Amino acid sequence: MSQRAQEAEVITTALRPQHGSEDEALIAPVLRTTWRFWAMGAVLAAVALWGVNAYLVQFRWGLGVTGLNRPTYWGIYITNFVFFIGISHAGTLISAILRLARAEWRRAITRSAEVITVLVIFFGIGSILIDMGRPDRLLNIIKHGRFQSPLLWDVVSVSTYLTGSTVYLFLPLIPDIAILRDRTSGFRHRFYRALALGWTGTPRQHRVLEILISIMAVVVIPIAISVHTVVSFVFAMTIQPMWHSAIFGPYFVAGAIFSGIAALILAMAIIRSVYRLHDYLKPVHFDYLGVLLLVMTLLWFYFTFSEYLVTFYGSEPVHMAVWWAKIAGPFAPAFWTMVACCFVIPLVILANRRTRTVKGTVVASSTVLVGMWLERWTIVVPSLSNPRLPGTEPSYFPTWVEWSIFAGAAAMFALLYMIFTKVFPIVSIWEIREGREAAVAEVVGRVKSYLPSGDGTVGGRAA
Amino acid sequence: MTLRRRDFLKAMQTAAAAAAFSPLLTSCRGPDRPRSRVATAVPPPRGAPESWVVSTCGACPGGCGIRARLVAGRLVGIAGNPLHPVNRGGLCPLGISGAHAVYHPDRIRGPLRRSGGELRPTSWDEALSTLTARLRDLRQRGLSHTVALLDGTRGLSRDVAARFLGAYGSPNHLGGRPWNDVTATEAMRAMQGVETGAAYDLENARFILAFGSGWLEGAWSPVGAARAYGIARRGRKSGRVQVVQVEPRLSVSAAHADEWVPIQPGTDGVLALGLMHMVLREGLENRQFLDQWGFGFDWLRALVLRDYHPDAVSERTGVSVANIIRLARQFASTRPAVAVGDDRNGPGVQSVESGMAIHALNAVVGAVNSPGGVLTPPGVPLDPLPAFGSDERGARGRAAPPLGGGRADGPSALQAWLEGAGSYPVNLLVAYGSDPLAMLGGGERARVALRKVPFVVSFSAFLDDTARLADLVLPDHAWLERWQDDPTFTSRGFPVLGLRQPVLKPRHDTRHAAEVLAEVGRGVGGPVAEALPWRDFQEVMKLSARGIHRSGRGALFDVPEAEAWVETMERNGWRATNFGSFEEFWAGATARGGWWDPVYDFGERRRVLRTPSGKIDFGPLARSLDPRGTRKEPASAMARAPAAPSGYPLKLHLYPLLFAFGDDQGPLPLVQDLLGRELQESWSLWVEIGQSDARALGLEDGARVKVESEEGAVEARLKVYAGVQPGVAAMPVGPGGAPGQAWRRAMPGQAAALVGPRHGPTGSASAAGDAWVRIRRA
Amino acid sequence: MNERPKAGPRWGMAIDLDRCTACQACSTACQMENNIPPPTPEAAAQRRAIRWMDLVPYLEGEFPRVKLRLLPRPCMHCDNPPCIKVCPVGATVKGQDGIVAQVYPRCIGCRYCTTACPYTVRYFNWYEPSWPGDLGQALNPDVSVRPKGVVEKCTFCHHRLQKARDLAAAEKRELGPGEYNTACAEACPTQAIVFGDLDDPHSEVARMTRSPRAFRLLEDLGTEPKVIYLREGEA
Repeated sequence: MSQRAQEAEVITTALRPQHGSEDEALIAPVLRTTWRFWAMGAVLAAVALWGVNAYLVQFRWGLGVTGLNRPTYWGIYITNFVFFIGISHAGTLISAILRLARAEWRRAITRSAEVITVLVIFFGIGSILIDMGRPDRLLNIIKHGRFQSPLLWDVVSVSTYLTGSTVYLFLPLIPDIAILRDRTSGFRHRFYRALALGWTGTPRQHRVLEILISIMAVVVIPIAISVHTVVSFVFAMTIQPMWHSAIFGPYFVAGAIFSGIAALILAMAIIRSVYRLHDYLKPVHFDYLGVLLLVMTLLWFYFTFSEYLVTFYGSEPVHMAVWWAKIAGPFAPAFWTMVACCFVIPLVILANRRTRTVKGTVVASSTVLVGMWLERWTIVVPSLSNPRLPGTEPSYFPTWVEWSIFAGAAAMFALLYMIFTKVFPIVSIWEIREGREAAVAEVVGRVKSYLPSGDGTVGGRAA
Repeated sequence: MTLRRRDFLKAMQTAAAAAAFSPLLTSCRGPDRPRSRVATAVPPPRGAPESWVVSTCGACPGGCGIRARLVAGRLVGIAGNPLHPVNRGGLCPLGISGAHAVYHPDRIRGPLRRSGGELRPTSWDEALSTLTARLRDLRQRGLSHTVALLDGTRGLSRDVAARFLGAYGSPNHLGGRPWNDVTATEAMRAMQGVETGAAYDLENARFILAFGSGWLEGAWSPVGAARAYGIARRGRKSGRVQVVQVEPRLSVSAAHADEWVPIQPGTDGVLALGLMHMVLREGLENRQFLDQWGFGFDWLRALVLRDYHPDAVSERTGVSVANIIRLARQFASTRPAVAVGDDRNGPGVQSVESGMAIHALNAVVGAVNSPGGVLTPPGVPLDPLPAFGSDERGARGRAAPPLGGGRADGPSALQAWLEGAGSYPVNLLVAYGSDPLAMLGGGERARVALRKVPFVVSFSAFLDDTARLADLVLPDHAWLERWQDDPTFTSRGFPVLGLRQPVLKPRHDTRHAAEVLAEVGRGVGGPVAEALPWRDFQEVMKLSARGIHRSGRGALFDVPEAEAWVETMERNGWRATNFGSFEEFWAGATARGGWWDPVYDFGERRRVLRTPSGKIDFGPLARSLDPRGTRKEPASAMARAPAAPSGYPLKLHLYPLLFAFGDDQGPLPLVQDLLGRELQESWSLWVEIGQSDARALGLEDGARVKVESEEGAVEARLKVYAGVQPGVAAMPVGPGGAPGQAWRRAMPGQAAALVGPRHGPTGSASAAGDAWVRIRRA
Repeated sequence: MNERPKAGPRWGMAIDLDRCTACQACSTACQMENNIPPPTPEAAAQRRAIRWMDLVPYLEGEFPRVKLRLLPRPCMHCDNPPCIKVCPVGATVKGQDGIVAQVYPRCIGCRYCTTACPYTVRYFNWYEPSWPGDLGQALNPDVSVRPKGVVEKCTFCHHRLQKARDLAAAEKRELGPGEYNTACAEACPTQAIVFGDLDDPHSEVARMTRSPRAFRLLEDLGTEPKVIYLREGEA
């Protein structure tokens, strides 16, 4: 039997659906629900409904119920749009990159990352729709779309990303759905059977699945990068001071990955504690993700520092008005909080291995999320609040409607995520098993291939 | 406790249902939506027949010509009349918003009578009979002199009121408008003996020295002044005019001047005399003019040379000695140059002495009754209304001491009278085209004074401040709904008669105020009925317009090129009238907007100088300046430098917002919004101080502060403005705010509460110049 | 959209700041002509008042060397407009005659154009516009009333052009000079605002463009605005 076939045999055996395996903890959340789930769900649903109510108020009366005005025509909704889309980079990008890099520690976290992506994109798009003055004319974007507009690039890119991410989430989900199919009965059994697409775990099916997943992993990365690049182009393609910057594309992508990792860490920590997955989401995972977060902290700081230093040296009055507004003016509290939350605190926590624990990374991630939201805020609002022509006295603060919608969106996201964990295993069961049974051997073999063989051959041939 | 899925789903359903009926959905409307329930506006159908009606704007005394656009009977737009010589097609925001004045939601829809403490609708018959009964009763009891009428109208409407009071037996026909009536007019009355007011020939001036604020922002004729400015800047071959604005703050007018000279509030006249001092010292005065046309100048010369040395003037005004010398030289050596005084009523404007000093300065350089100077416009040659008889009661009433000495600043005089200066009570007050309470600032003190009058009648079309405390409201038509004559003059001194005709039928149960007054007069009976036999105001207009027709002078409005033709013909003694019979004249005048006479005869000495000496009389000014003179009135405010009361370090400078004083317009939203635009303020009251003062007080731009003087206090928003000099606090004054209206005017005249009313027969003690305030955080 | 032959007019405006007195008749005339909902005090406080023609205040210096300049500012109708580039649905378009027009029924209210405009000339209907009481009677039938949620701005009184063209076509002749004038230029008491065909060398507006006092706002941005200002002061 060829080596590949051997490997396939091992994998297949390992992955044949079986009862009473060691990974019961991963299936347990799907099969059993406690009162805590319902209680949390009720709370989140209440907040989400409150957000819906706030939106209905806005839909009825118009955007006047927000705090937006002239010249601050964009505010919290656009901030949220960029923020949510940014977080969506967590999943697919991390999952895809780690998969391509064959980083084995990814196995426990890919699913939770991919779910973040798929769900949060809806809220990103939702934020834009909420921001529209005439949501009833949404189809005009299709009917009369103009491709010179960066917003249309957004539409294409984000919808492609959503489609790709959904596929990329679904494909590795299939084997787990099959496991659940075989463990449930009645309505749920029928549901899982429909979604399992007749998965039986044969070697051929596995081969096909691996190929598809690999293709998606490769395809989804440029799409993901394009997503936040075109989001940045919404700002960069105007001529407004401190928007029209060449650095925005990479800056936003880096910021997106940054906030995405932070969101992922947070989500993982919550899942870990709620579903008692301490065996699967181990400190080492948080450690490695913490290192990635640290790298992104430094990268974020590099980009931000460049942006502000270059602007400062340019000394152009229009740009400096915005610059000063952020550094020392009305936006200084937001700006410096952002710096503390995105750089200072994470650096301190994550640079030291002793503090790069689960708790440490969670704290760092929370501050990163706050800081990144503030970063979007300090990008969107100050440039608008300092128009070139005098004659406006800008001041913008969101109203209860805007905050409620923000809270509602966050709550709804959490609620949907929670529901997902109840319907599908949040840690990929088959990948864990694959890791346990096949990957160890594979990795040993791979490492050995890096090193000199010591048997007199060079590159597999006799010297 | 286990919460089961079923319970959860049920709870969610209930919550969803509740959310759908959420009261928040219906009650949470945006804060900036008008409180009144609104119907979505439906424009008239496209293609509906359109017509244009020519009339004259009645929003202010400027007298611009308008064309009203009507579609399917609705007034949908107002544009300027290019044939009208005052504005030649241009307009100002007040006139442009005219349609809003017609369709205003706060218009009074019918006569109102106060019963049970509230104003309730009543019928015209009842209202008029009430008023007539009271008037007759007062006349019976020999108290006809206790009736006072504040008149904000001009032309024949004013004549009707004068006839009414004259025949009725009251000497109290008071001026009641905030425009154009006090300082320059009184100065010319004192020094030239004429009543017409000043026409500043700005189009032909090469140097304009403007004292006080607002000549470009409103003044005697907003559009007229603006047009003259535009021509003097860029519209003529003789070079661009130089404008110097002397003013305590950098107003819009000052911003458009070539130079702004900051000056301490209330010291315009002092500076004028200081300039005169330098002109005389350097021998730059027009000696020939003074010899020929001046009377009593030597006395004034001696006083000015003695008391108004540049050092003293500099100390009082804050203008540097170098600037005084330079300005004097510029003013005297650029010919023609003209000094323009402030021209409005109300708190914050110049005293009459200042007006006289400025007029005297003009005379010193020969800028009186000469091209580019101060002209005395001839009146429109209307026929006087026929004389009326009198009876004993009437004669006795007329002989009573008049309230306020017949001065134009009616509301101030009235307030002083009611507060104790008066020798008899006022039993009936008529506000006729006037809102005296607003002109007095709408504050508590003014209200208390007016409440002393047992019966107040208002003819206002809106529930303005006075109407709100009136006992009877007889709403007039909106100016677009009535016939009226609008006699005025252009800046070149040409008399103009604009005709105002209804462009649409009256929307509510309103009546022409003059017609109502005439009807009331007929109800009173006796000589009053004889004096006012007309039922239709158009009849009165035609009656008096026959005088124009008979004079054979002037022409109906025509294209600008026709002006030169008419002028040439008339100067050579021929007629250039473009009308034949009176019917032709009247038809043409209503179709084109009116009549004018584009000739100013600079040689009409007897018309222009009606003093006993037949010359410009410098005596009144000299008398008021000389503190050791024989006058019993308080010494001139200009002679002494008032000291700041302790604890009130900032000198208050009030400046009236001219557009806020539109006649009979109600609060117009478009106009309200544009007031203060240059400072990015609007709607609510603000106080301006300079940067250094703000820092010293520890206050920042936008802070809510309390402004206190010895007279009163107001709350305002602080505006830190570089255009205010240190030690000065500037505040705008507008008519009082009336709550509950569609657009609540939150720019109340409360600022006027910081100063007392002007009193004294010559309006000396211009309180604004002496008002001191302090500012602290609210 | 009306297509004009290549040699068609290019509409522009010149504003002589030496004549302007900042009386705001232009702003008011525009508001009345174009059915702009009158601002309430609350809307004004929230910086939501709509004024297609607005006064831009430039305040410089400290007492006593203070300079205040007030510029009337309509839409610049740029020949290289940043707003059109970003509209996702083509709700703002520029015709060959140079007018940057708004297509209200198509606007989705995303407000991208409002943020892209460097002159901040665009306005948004935050609520359904309202005219309390009977004020709606005074609406101009030639101009559509915008609903809530759409962007609007100065149109160079485009409806007047259409009306004048219709009239000329009905009378079987060409559009004459002076037949199409904006409401602001018409109302200006000092004739500081002049409107016309920039490509007609004999027109008043073209003559003013050649003045040594002429300048344009934010010219270095390359937006090529078609509103030219003439500086105040000696030539």
